[in-house]
Amino acid sequence: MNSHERTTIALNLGVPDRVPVFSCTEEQNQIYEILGEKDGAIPLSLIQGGWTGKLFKLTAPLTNRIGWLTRETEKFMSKKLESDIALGYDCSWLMYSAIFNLKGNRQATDIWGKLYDLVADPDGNVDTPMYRQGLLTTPELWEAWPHPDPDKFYKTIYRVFADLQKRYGQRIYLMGSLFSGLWESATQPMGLTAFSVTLRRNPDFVRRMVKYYETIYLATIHATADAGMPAFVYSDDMGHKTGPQTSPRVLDEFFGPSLRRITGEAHKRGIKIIIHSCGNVNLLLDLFADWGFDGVHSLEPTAGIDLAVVKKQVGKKMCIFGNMDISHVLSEGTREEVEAAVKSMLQAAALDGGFIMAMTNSHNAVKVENTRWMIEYTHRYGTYPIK
Amino acid sequence: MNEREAIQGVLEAVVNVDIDGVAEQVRAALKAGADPSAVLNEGLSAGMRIVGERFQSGEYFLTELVLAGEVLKAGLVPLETLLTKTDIQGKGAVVLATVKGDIHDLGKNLVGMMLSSAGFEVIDLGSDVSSQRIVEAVRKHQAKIVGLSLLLTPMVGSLRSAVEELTRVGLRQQVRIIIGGACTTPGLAKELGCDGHGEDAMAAVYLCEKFI
Ligand code: B1M
Repeated sequence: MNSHERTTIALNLGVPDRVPVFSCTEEQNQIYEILGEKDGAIPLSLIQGGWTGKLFKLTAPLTNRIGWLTRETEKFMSKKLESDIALGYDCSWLMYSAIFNLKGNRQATDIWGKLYDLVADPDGNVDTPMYRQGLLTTPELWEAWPHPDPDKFYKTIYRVFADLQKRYGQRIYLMGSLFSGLWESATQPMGLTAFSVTLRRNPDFVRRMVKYYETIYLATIHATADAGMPAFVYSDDMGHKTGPQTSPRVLDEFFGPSLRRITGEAHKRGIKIIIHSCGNVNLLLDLFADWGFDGVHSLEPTAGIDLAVVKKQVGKKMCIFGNMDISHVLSEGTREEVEAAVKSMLQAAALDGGFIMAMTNSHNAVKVENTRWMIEYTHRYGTYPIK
Repeated sequence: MNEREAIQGVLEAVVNVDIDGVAEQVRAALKAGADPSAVLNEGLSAGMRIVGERFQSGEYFLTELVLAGEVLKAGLVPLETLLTKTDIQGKGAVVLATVKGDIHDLGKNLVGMMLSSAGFEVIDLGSDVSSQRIVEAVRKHQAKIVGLSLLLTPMVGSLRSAVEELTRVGLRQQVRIIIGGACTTPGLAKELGCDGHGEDAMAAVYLCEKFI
């Protein structure tokens, strides 16, 4: 079987030849290490220091207008896919992340109204800027923000996804995605506090806001399908360490109707749709299935998720993705620890198919070597029938 | 309505996260003759504690918890001129920060909110905070407790360096250090020589109260 067949069968809750492996990797340091190349991005020191820094600061509006950052980000998306293919992944989470605009040379905003600092992490990565705050803290500010037009957004996403699907789609199963789902888009540009107050005082505004983000998602789903990509990862962190960020009731009442329409549209267009949510989502699993998602990702072991329980609870309704720990196993674990983690995950969730191996998220301290071991052991022990 | 009933009304407004009704309840309590510090302690703060416990037990969610913080602020408005600093922040200063390289601030904010409602003076340094700034704040506010939040494994080093810096400048003996956040565990607290680990915001309050 090739990667496509394998992933498709697992997503349909069937038993492929072996468990597929899904990539969440998005850190520059790992991607260029895998490719054995030098990081091609302009170093932050040039953007922020000396005369070049001054120039960047001065010309930031022009740089935004000519779409420099967008092009750089899109180039990086190609590099990510090349590294995923080089490492031997079967399927890849392709997040459309060219959504930033420079604000001077030390900060950036995204198209949803969030402010970030441009700083490098200890490994020099700048591709995940530091979220600082939401800029749309009142309904008035939200209304006044130049939100993207769904039709234009469709065109941008389609252009990028169609190109990447054409160049890489034969070699790896691509799952399109967009930065910030409905919950994150509603809460992060406002800030959770302002959002919670607005939810209480002005629920109609919250509904209106969610409806707008739904139109963006519907446009993105169409762009993904028209580009020929077979699946979409709907990325929306609704959990935290010990539970959901808000009640399942609020999520279902305010976000559920839009999510049902989004998954419905994906299915009409013949693509699979997987939900990614970090944190403890135990109380949300049935809702995810109810909303129509075909798969569920992250399932963080360090946030109280027990893979066997998840499998039992929703494994007949959704494909289970993830659960590989990045707090210890993939960042500082030994070969033996990676092997043991793979084996125990396979036992918990893969025996009758419908399981895709994946790490829960990506950060700069995840080791490429450990990632290789994860793939190697999944190949070794995840071949069906699994003993 | 007598004083007790009026204070109970304040408590219930907080517990029901009634952001638009709490100030009215506080005014009613004052009108009924309640002492402002009793309205604060037995009404607002006691209500916040119940909200924190409901969050801990899973009955309330983050959205209720942060809303309760706003309810508290609204409830404090009619009391502002009537309370002394000792009434509000009598339990001493706690320096709070999310460590260098980590911007996850929601948990730290909640811990700060619960600590101030429990009577601590919270010096919130924000997120992505260097060890030097933590040391400066401890000195400036003569804090006895340092609370550090961490959610990112790659930034465990920042937590370690904050503890080392406090030791290096000779402040370690005079402060208790507690940690919390998604990637922390009691084991990590022990390994780094910290004094406690809080699983959630209420646990942070219990720890700080234990230390004073
Ligand atoms: C002092 O004493 C105390 C005592 C108790 C204390 C305490 C201190 N501090 C906290 N507590 C305790 O009390 C609080 C209330 O009960 C609790 O606080 P928490 O902070 O745990 O809970 C908050 C109230 C709500 N929880 C949260 O806000 C965190 C939720 C999750 C989903 C999360 C979010 C929301 C975000 N994130 Co990030 N994020 C995840 C989180 C998943 C998870 N498992 O938690 C986590 C933490 N993130 C992760 C990652 C990897 C990242 N994130 C990133 C970014 C973000 C957002 C900006 C999108 C957003 C943060 C928004 C914000 N303003 O904070 C990036 C890093 C940015 C940076 N440099 O910091 C990025 C690196 C992703 C990327 N590749 O870009 C993971 C870290 C994994 C690890 N082991 O290192 C992660 C666990 C998700 C995962 N699937 O693995 C308790 O822990």
